[in-house]
Amino acid sequence: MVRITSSDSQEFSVSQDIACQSQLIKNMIEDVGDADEQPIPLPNVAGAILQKGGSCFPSISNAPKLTLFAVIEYATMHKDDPPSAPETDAKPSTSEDIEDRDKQFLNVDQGTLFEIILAANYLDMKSLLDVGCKTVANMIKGKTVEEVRALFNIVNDFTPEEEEQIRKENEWCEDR
Amino acid sequence: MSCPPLENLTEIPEKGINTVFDIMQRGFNRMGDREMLNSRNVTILCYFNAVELPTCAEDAEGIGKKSGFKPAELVGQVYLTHEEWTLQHGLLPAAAMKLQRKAIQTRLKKRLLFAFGNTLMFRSNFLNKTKHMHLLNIPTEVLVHIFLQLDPFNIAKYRRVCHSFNNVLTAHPFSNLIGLVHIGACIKGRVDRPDQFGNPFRRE
Repeated sequence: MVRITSSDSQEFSVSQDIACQSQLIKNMIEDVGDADEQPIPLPNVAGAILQKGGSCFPSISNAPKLTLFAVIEYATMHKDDPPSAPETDAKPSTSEDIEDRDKQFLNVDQGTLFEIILAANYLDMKSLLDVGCKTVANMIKGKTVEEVRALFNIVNDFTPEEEEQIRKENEWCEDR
Repeated sequence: MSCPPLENLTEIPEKGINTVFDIMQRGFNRMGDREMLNSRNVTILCYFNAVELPTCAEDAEGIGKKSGFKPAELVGQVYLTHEEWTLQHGLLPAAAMKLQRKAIQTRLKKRLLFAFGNTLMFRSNFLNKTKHMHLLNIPTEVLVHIFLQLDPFNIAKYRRVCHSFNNVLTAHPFSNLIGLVHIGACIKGRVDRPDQFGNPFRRE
Protein backbone atom coordinates (compact mmCIF):
# COMPACT_ATOMS: atom_id res chain seq x y z
CA MET A 1 0.00 0.00 0.00
CA VAL A 2 1.01 3.61 -0.64
CA ARG A 3 -0.07 6.42 1.66
CA ILE A 4 -0.70 9.78 -0.01
CA THR A 5 -1.39 13.07 1.74
CA SER A 6 -3.17 16.01 0.12
CA SER A 7 -2.18 19.60 0.81
CA ASP A 8 -4.79 19.89 3.57
CA SER A 9 -3.43 16.80 5.37
CA GLN A 10 -6.11 14.36 4.23
CA GLU A 11 -4.45 10.97 4.04
CA PHE A 12 -5.37 8.19 1.62
CA SER A 13 -4.08 4.62 1.50
CA VAL A 14 -4.13 3.09 -1.94
CA SER A 15 -2.58 0.04 -3.50
CA GLN A 16 0.60 0.61 -5.43
CA ASP A 17 -0.93 -0.31 -8.81
CA ILE A 18 -3.59 2.36 -8.31
CA ALA A 19 -1.11 5.01 -7.16
CA CYS A 20 1.20 4.18 -10.06
CA GLN A 21 -1.43 5.20 -12.60
CA SER A 22 0.11 8.57 -11.89
CA GLN A 23 3.35 8.58 -13.85
CA LEU A 24 4.71 11.19 -11.44
CA ILE A 25 4.11 9.00 -8.36
CA LYS A 26 5.33 5.92 -10.21
CA ASN A 27 8.62 7.59 -11.12
CA MET A 28 8.95 8.91 -7.60
CA ILE A 29 8.39 5.52 -5.97
CA GLU A 30 10.94 3.99 -8.33
CA ASP A 31 13.43 6.67 -7.36
CA VAL A 32 12.76 6.80 -3.62
CA GLY A 33 11.69 3.21 -2.82
CA ASP A 34 10.12 1.88 0.43
CA ALA A 35 6.70 3.18 -0.47
CA ASP A 36 4.86 2.12 2.68
CA GLU A 37 7.15 3.72 5.22
CA GLN A 38 5.69 7.20 5.34
CA PRO A 39 2.99 9.07 3.44
CA ILE A 40 3.83 10.71 0.13
CA PRO A 41 2.94 14.38 0.38
CA LEU A 42 1.25 15.96 -2.65
CA PRO A 43 1.58 19.62 -1.72
CA ASN A 44 0.15 20.80 -5.01
CA VAL A 45 -2.95 18.63 -5.20
CA ALA A 46 -5.93 20.58 -4.08
CA GLY A 47 -7.60 20.06 -0.76
CA ALA A 48 -11.28 20.12 -0.10
CA ILE A 49 -13.62 21.51 -2.70
CA LEU A 50 -16.98 22.21 -1.16
CA GLN A 51 -19.20 20.62 -3.71
CA LYS A 52 -22.31 18.68 -2.90
CA GLY A 53 -23.87 15.72 -4.58
CA GLY A 54 -21.11 14.08 -6.59
CA SER A 55 -23.15 11.64 -8.60
CA CYS A 56 -20.43 9.01 -8.64
CA PHE A 57 -20.09 8.98 -4.87
CA PRO A 58 -23.63 8.28 -3.67
CA SER A 59 -22.52 7.17 -0.23
CA ILE A 60 -20.99 10.56 0.54
CA SER A 61 -23.24 12.66 -1.61
CA ASN A 62 -23.46 15.43 0.97
CA ALA A 63 -19.84 15.38 2.04
CA PRO A 64 -17.12 17.65 0.75
CA LYS A 65 -15.55 16.10 -2.28
CA LEU A 66 -11.78 16.10 -2.59
CA THR A 67 -9.84 16.40 -5.80
CA LEU A 68 -7.37 13.80 -4.64
CA PHE A 69 -10.23 11.59 -3.56
CA ALA A 70 -11.79 11.96 -7.00
CA VAL A 71 -8.51 11.19 -8.73
CA ILE A 72 -8.03 8.04 -6.62
CA GLU A 73 -11.63 7.06 -7.31
CA TYR A 74 -10.95 7.35 -11.05
CA ALA A 75 -7.71 5.37 -10.78
CA THR A 76 -9.53 2.62 -8.83
CA MET A 77 -12.27 2.50 -11.44
CA HIS A 78 -9.68 2.00 -14.19
CA LYS A 79 -7.19 -0.23 -12.38
CA ASP A 80 -8.05 -3.29 -14.48
CA ASP A 81 -7.95 -1.48 -17.82
CA PRO A 82 -5.47 -2.90 -20.34
CA PRO A 83 -2.39 -0.74 -20.82
CA SER A 84 -3.02 1.89 -23.45
CA ALA A 85 -1.55 1.32 -26.90
CA PRO A 86 1.51 3.32 -27.88
CA GLU A 87 0.49 6.60 -29.49
CA THR A 88 1.71 5.53 -32.89
CA ASP A 89 -0.56 2.42 -32.89
CA ALA A 90 -3.58 4.06 -31.28
CA LYS A 91 -6.61 4.96 -33.36
CA PRO A 92 -7.22 8.68 -33.53
CA SER A 93 -9.68 9.48 -30.79
CA THR A 94 -12.45 12.04 -30.87
CA SER A 95 -14.19 13.92 -28.12
CA GLU A 96 -17.10 11.46 -28.47
CA ASP A 97 -14.98 8.55 -27.16
CA ILE A 98 -15.92 8.80 -23.51
CA GLU A 99 -17.14 5.77 -21.61
CA ASP A 100 -20.45 6.14 -19.77
CA ARG A 101 -18.81 5.60 -16.38
CA ASP A 102 -16.34 8.42 -17.15
CA LYS A 103 -19.16 10.70 -18.26
CA GLN A 104 -20.88 10.01 -14.97
CA PHE A 105 -17.63 10.52 -13.06
CA LEU A 106 -17.06 13.93 -14.63
CA ASN A 107 -20.64 15.06 -14.27
CA VAL A 108 -19.56 17.78 -11.82
CA ASP A 109 -19.53 21.56 -11.73
CA GLN A 110 -16.97 23.43 -13.86
CA GLY A 111 -14.68 24.34 -10.94
CA THR A 112 -14.39 20.71 -9.86
CA LEU A 113 -13.84 19.57 -13.43
CA PHE A 114 -10.97 22.03 -13.93
CA GLU A 115 -9.43 21.05 -10.57
CA ILE A 116 -9.51 17.39 -11.63
CA ILE A 117 -7.94 18.24 -15.01
CA LEU A 118 -5.19 20.25 -13.29
CA ALA A 119 -4.52 17.40 -10.85
CA ALA A 120 -4.39 14.90 -13.74
CA ASN A 121 -1.95 17.14 -15.59
CA TYR A 122 0.22 17.58 -12.51
CA LEU A 123 0.13 13.90 -11.55
CA ASP A 124 0.74 12.93 -15.18
CA MET A 125 -2.34 10.70 -15.55
CA LYS A 126 -2.84 10.61 -19.31
CA SER A 127 -6.18 8.81 -19.43
CA LEU A 128 -7.82 11.11 -16.87
CA LEU A 129 -6.36 14.19 -18.58
CA ASP A 130 -7.68 12.94 -21.93
CA VAL A 131 -11.17 12.28 -20.67
CA GLY A 132 -11.27 15.61 -18.80
CA CYS A 133 -10.18 17.54 -21.89
CA LYS A 134 -12.70 15.68 -24.04
CA THR A 135 -15.43 16.65 -21.59
CA VAL A 136 -14.51 20.34 -21.85
CA ALA A 137 -14.20 20.00 -25.64
CA ASN A 138 -17.74 18.59 -25.76
CA MET A 139 -18.95 21.59 -23.79
CA ILE A 140 -17.42 23.90 -26.42
CA LYS A 141 -18.42 21.88 -29.47
CA GLY A 142 -21.13 23.43 -31.66
CA LYS A 143 -21.38 26.62 -29.64
CA THR A 144 -21.00 30.14 -30.94
CA VAL A 145 -18.31 32.47 -29.62
CA GLU A 146 -20.85 34.30 -27.48
CA GLU A 147 -22.23 31.03 -26.07
CA VAL A 148 -18.72 29.88 -25.13
CA ARG A 149 -18.07 33.19 -23.33
CA ALA A 150 -21.33 32.85 -21.43
CA LEU A 151 -20.81 29.17 -20.58
CA PHE A 152 -17.33 29.67 -19.08
CA ASN A 153 -17.90 33.19 -17.78
CA ILE A 154 -15.14 34.58 -20.02
CA VAL A 155 -14.89 38.33 -20.42
CA ASN A 156 -14.33 39.62 -23.94
CA ASP A 157 -10.99 41.36 -23.46
CA PHE A 158 -10.58 42.52 -27.09
CA THR A 159 -10.91 46.13 -28.10
CA PRO A 160 -13.59 46.63 -30.79
CA GLU A 161 -10.77 47.16 -33.33
CA GLU A 162 -9.00 43.93 -32.36
CA GLU A 163 -12.21 41.95 -32.52
CA GLU A 164 -13.06 43.41 -35.91
CA GLN A 165 -9.61 42.45 -37.20
CA ILE A 166 -10.04 38.84 -36.08
CA ARG A 167 -13.56 38.79 -37.47
CA LYS A 168 -12.15 39.80 -40.86
CA GLU A 169 -9.43 37.16 -40.71
CA ASN A 170 -12.05 34.61 -39.69
CA GLU A 171 -14.64 35.55 -42.29
CA TRP A 172 -14.24 32.18 -43.99
CA CYS A 173 -15.11 30.17 -40.89
CA GLU A 174 -17.44 32.33 -38.82
CA ASP A 175 -20.56 30.80 -40.34
CA ARG A 176 -19.41 27.19 -39.79
CA MET B 1 27.80 32.04 -8.43
CA SER B 2 28.20 31.91 -4.70
CA CYS B 3 25.97 33.27 -1.93
CA PRO B 4 25.60 32.33 1.75
CA PRO B 5 22.79 29.78 1.34
CA LEU B 6 24.53 28.08 -1.58
CA GLU B 7 27.81 27.99 0.35
CA ASN B 8 25.96 26.32 3.20
CA LEU B 9 24.45 23.79 0.82
CA THR B 10 27.90 22.72 -0.31
CA GLU B 11 28.71 21.89 3.29
CA ILE B 12 25.87 19.40 3.74
CA PRO B 13 28.00 16.27 4.15
CA GLU B 14 30.09 17.72 6.99
CA LYS B 15 28.37 20.33 9.05
CA GLY B 16 25.67 22.29 7.19
CA ILE B 17 22.69 20.22 8.35
CA ASN B 18 21.12 22.91 10.50
CA THR B 19 20.98 25.38 7.65
CA VAL B 20 19.57 22.83 5.26
CA PHE B 21 17.08 21.85 7.94
CA ASP B 22 15.85 25.44 8.08
CA ILE B 23 15.51 25.58 4.32
CA MET B 24 13.62 22.30 4.15
CA GLN B 25 11.38 23.36 6.97
CA ARG B 26 9.92 26.05 4.73
CA GLY B 27 8.49 23.31 2.57
CA PHE B 28 7.17 21.31 5.49
CA ASN B 29 5.72 24.36 7.20
CA ARG B 30 3.68 24.89 4.08
CA MET B 31 2.36 21.38 4.54
CA GLY B 32 1.84 21.85 8.26
CA ASP B 33 4.01 18.99 9.51
CA ARG B 34 7.47 19.64 10.96
CA GLU B 35 7.86 16.09 12.22
CA MET B 36 8.15 14.58 8.78
CA LEU B 37 11.65 15.82 8.05
CA ASN B 38 13.96 13.00 7.01
CA SER B 39 16.09 12.31 3.99
CA ARG B 40 13.37 10.41 2.13
CA ASN B 41 10.84 13.19 2.53
CA VAL B 42 13.38 15.81 1.62
CA THR B 43 13.88 13.89 -1.62
CA ILE B 44 10.12 13.76 -2.16
CA LEU B 45 9.73 17.47 -1.48
CA CYS B 46 12.44 18.23 -3.99
CA TYR B 47 10.70 15.93 -6.45
CA PHE B 48 7.50 17.92 -6.24
CA ASN B 49 9.27 21.28 -6.34
CA ALA B 50 7.83 22.02 -2.95
CA VAL B 51 11.03 23.54 -1.67
CA GLU B 52 11.67 27.06 -2.85
CA LEU B 53 14.68 28.95 -1.70
CA PRO B 54 13.52 32.57 -1.72
CA THR B 55 16.36 33.79 0.50
CA CYS B 56 18.85 32.10 -1.74
CA ALA B 57 17.28 33.66 -4.84
CA GLU B 58 17.21 37.11 -3.26
CA ASP B 59 20.87 36.86 -2.27
CA ALA B 60 21.85 35.61 -5.70
CA GLU B 61 19.86 38.39 -7.36
CA GLY B 62 21.58 40.99 -5.15
CA ILE B 63 25.01 39.64 -6.03
CA GLY B 64 24.08 39.57 -9.71
CA LYS B 65 22.96 43.21 -9.63
CA LYS B 66 26.14 44.28 -7.87
CA SER B 67 28.15 42.42 -10.49
CA GLY B 68 26.38 44.30 -13.29
CA PHE B 69 24.46 41.35 -14.72
CA LYS B 70 21.69 42.07 -17.23
CA PRO B 71 18.08 41.48 -16.06
CA ALA B 72 17.87 38.22 -18.04
CA GLU B 73 20.98 36.94 -16.27
CA LEU B 74 19.67 37.52 -12.75
CA VAL B 75 18.49 34.54 -10.70
CA GLY B 76 14.72 34.65 -10.30
CA GLN B 77 13.90 31.40 -8.54
CA VAL B 78 15.93 28.59 -7.02
CA TYR B 79 14.57 25.07 -6.76
CA LEU B 80 16.12 21.99 -5.26
CA THR B 81 15.77 18.86 -7.34
CA HIS B 82 16.03 15.25 -6.25
CA GLU B 83 18.55 14.27 -8.90
CA GLU B 84 22.29 14.28 -8.48
CA TRP B 85 23.87 16.36 -11.20
CA THR B 86 26.94 14.41 -12.16
CA LEU B 87 28.81 14.04 -15.41
CA GLN B 88 27.08 10.67 -15.91
CA HIS B 89 23.70 12.34 -15.36
CA GLY B 90 24.12 14.12 -18.69
CA LEU B 91 23.18 17.64 -17.61
CA LEU B 92 26.69 18.80 -16.82
CA PRO B 93 29.41 19.52 -19.35
CA ALA B 94 32.46 17.38 -19.85
CA ALA B 95 34.89 20.12 -20.73
CA ALA B 96 33.27 23.43 -21.65
CA MET B 97 31.95 23.97 -18.09
CA LYS B 98 28.57 25.14 -19.37
CA LEU B 99 25.24 23.58 -18.47
CA GLN B 100 23.70 21.39 -21.16
CA ARG B 101 20.73 23.64 -21.83
CA LYS B 102 19.03 21.39 -24.42
CA ALA B 103 19.30 18.33 -22.18
CA ILE B 104 18.00 20.28 -19.18
CA GLN B 105 15.07 21.66 -21.15
CA THR B 106 14.15 18.19 -22.41
CA ARG B 107 14.55 16.32 -19.15
CA LEU B 108 13.01 18.94 -16.86
CA LYS B 109 10.42 20.27 -19.31
CA LYS B 110 7.43 19.82 -17.06
CA ARG B 111 9.12 21.29 -14.02
CA LEU B 112 10.37 24.27 -15.99
CA LEU B 113 6.87 24.84 -17.29
CA PHE B 114 5.65 24.63 -13.74
CA ALA B 115 8.17 27.18 -12.54
CA PHE B 116 8.12 29.73 -15.34
CA GLY B 117 6.11 31.29 -18.13
CA ASN B 118 2.38 31.16 -18.40
CA THR B 119 2.23 28.38 -15.83
CA LEU B 120 2.90 30.94 -13.12
CA MET B 121 -0.84 31.50 -13.04
CA PHE B 122 -1.39 27.77 -12.87
CA ARG B 123 1.07 27.48 -10.03
CA SER B 124 -0.31 30.36 -8.01
CA ASN B 125 -3.71 28.83 -8.46
CA PHE B 126 -2.49 25.66 -6.82
CA LEU B 127 -1.18 27.64 -3.90
CA ASN B 128 -4.41 29.67 -3.51
CA LYS B 129 -6.70 26.72 -3.20
CA THR B 130 -9.68 28.69 -2.02
CA LYS B 131 -9.99 30.41 -5.41
CA HIS B 132 -12.71 29.01 -7.65
CA MET B 133 -11.22 27.45 -10.74
CA HIS B 134 -11.86 29.04 -14.11
CA LEU B 135 -11.16 27.71 -17.60
CA LEU B 136 -8.55 30.43 -18.17
CA ASN B 137 -6.65 29.32 -15.04
CA ILE B 138 -5.78 26.13 -16.89
CA PRO B 139 -2.23 26.12 -18.28
CA THR B 140 -1.75 26.64 -21.99
CA GLU B 141 -0.61 23.08 -22.67
CA VAL B 142 -3.93 21.78 -21.33
CA LEU B 143 -5.93 24.32 -23.37
CA VAL B 144 -4.07 23.03 -26.43
CA HIS B 145 -5.02 19.48 -25.44
CA ILE B 146 -8.69 20.54 -25.19
CA PHE B 147 -8.69 22.17 -28.63
CA LEU B 148 -6.97 19.14 -30.12
CA GLN B 149 -10.11 17.14 -29.26
CA LEU B 150 -12.22 19.35 -31.53
CA ASP B 151 -12.61 19.32 -35.28
CA PRO B 152 -9.66 21.40 -36.51
CA PHE B 153 -11.87 22.81 -39.25
CA ASN B 154 -14.15 24.42 -36.71
CA ILE B 155 -11.89 25.78 -34.02
CA ALA B 156 -10.53 28.91 -35.69
CA LYS B 157 -13.73 30.79 -34.95
CA TYR B 158 -13.01 30.52 -31.20
CA ARG B 159 -10.05 32.88 -31.62
CA ARG B 160 -12.59 35.65 -31.03
CA VAL B 161 -13.56 34.44 -27.54
CA CYS B 162 -10.68 36.18 -25.73
CA HIS B 163 -6.96 36.90 -25.97
CA SER B 164 -6.02 33.59 -24.30
CA PHE B 165 -7.96 31.55 -26.85
CA ASN B 166 -6.57 33.67 -29.69
CA ASN B 167 -3.00 33.12 -28.47
CA VAL B 168 -3.49 29.34 -28.27
CA LEU B 169 -5.24 29.04 -31.63
CA THR B 170 -2.71 31.08 -33.55
CA ALA B 171 0.31 29.22 -32.15
CA HIS B 172 1.67 25.73 -32.73
CA PRO B 173 0.07 23.29 -33.57
CA PHE B 174 -3.01 25.18 -34.75
CA SER B 175 -1.29 27.80 -36.86
CA ASN B 176 -0.67 25.24 -39.62
CA LEU B 177 -4.15 23.74 -39.41
CA ILE B 178 -5.80 27.11 -39.69
CA GLY B 179 -3.65 27.79 -42.74
CA LEU B 180 -4.78 24.55 -44.39
CA VAL B 181 -8.44 25.23 -43.75
CA HIS B 182 -8.02 28.69 -45.15
CA ILE B 183 -6.76 27.17 -48.42
CA GLY B 184 -9.75 24.83 -48.42
CA ALA B 185 -12.14 27.66 -47.78
CA CYS B 186 -10.77 29.65 -50.74
CA ILE B 187 -12.43 27.15 -53.05
CA LYS B 188 -15.33 26.40 -50.78
CA GLY B 189 -17.83 23.90 -52.07
CA ARG B 190 -15.29 21.59 -53.60
CA VAL B 191 -12.60 21.17 -50.99
CA ASP B 192 -13.22 21.11 -47.29
CA ARG B 193 -10.42 18.94 -45.96
CA PRO B 194 -6.86 18.14 -46.99
CA ASP B 195 -7.83 14.49 -47.49
CA GLN B 196 -10.31 15.63 -50.14
CA PHE B 197 -7.68 17.56 -52.04
CA GLY B 198 -7.63 16.12 -55.55
CA ASN B 199 -7.26 17.16 -59.15
CA PRO B 200 -9.78 20.00 -58.97
CA PHE B 201 -7.75 21.52 -56.15
CA ARG B 202 -4.48 21.14 -58.05
CA ARG B 203 -5.96 22.75 -61.16
CA GLU B 204 -7.19 25.64 -59.03
